[in-house]
Amino acid sequence: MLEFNSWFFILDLIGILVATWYANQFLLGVLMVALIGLHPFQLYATYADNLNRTAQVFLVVI
Amino acid sequence: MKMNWSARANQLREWLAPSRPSSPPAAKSKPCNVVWLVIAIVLTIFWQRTFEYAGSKLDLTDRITTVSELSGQDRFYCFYHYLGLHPLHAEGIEPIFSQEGAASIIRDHPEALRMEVGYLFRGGDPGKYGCTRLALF
Repeated sequence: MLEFNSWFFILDLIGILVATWYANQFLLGVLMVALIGLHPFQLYATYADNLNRTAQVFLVVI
Repeated sequence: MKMNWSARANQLREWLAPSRPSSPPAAKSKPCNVVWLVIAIVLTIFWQRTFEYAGSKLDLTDRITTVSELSGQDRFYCFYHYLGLHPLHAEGIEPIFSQEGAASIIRDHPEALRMEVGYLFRGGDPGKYGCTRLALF
């Protein structure tokens, strides 16, 4: 579950980057990825909490 | 300056009318260089993988400890924790957080005892899981 959560979380961040790049708002995307990717609760839920809490891991990104 | 009614109405109509561009729309701006996107993606992957290796060292206080699996699961905590009864809660009765208190609720208000909230089944391990997490944190 940890491996899936972490790779899917990275995929979500890449999705933000691609979407904002396509919308010509790339700086906004970089800022969003930096803030979401450094969120301590998000990081713990993604990389340290080996539980199936999809909503908690991916809700911010969605 | 005072405006009469028709002048105000005309101005309002002008504001509300959909704007018609006098010139053709400018060509759609192209997204910025794809090289920046690739660099950002590669950096994001490496950056996030560092957290993967630091996973066990992340601060435990950042753990999300709220009960989120079943709404209203906290109502079942009292009876499960003090009497080992699950799923059970007393509707409309303030819980008493002690073994004697929980037993007295059963004794004094048997009519208020319920095994569900909102027609949602809470038996088995998923239901106890929410209560256990409440007890741990």
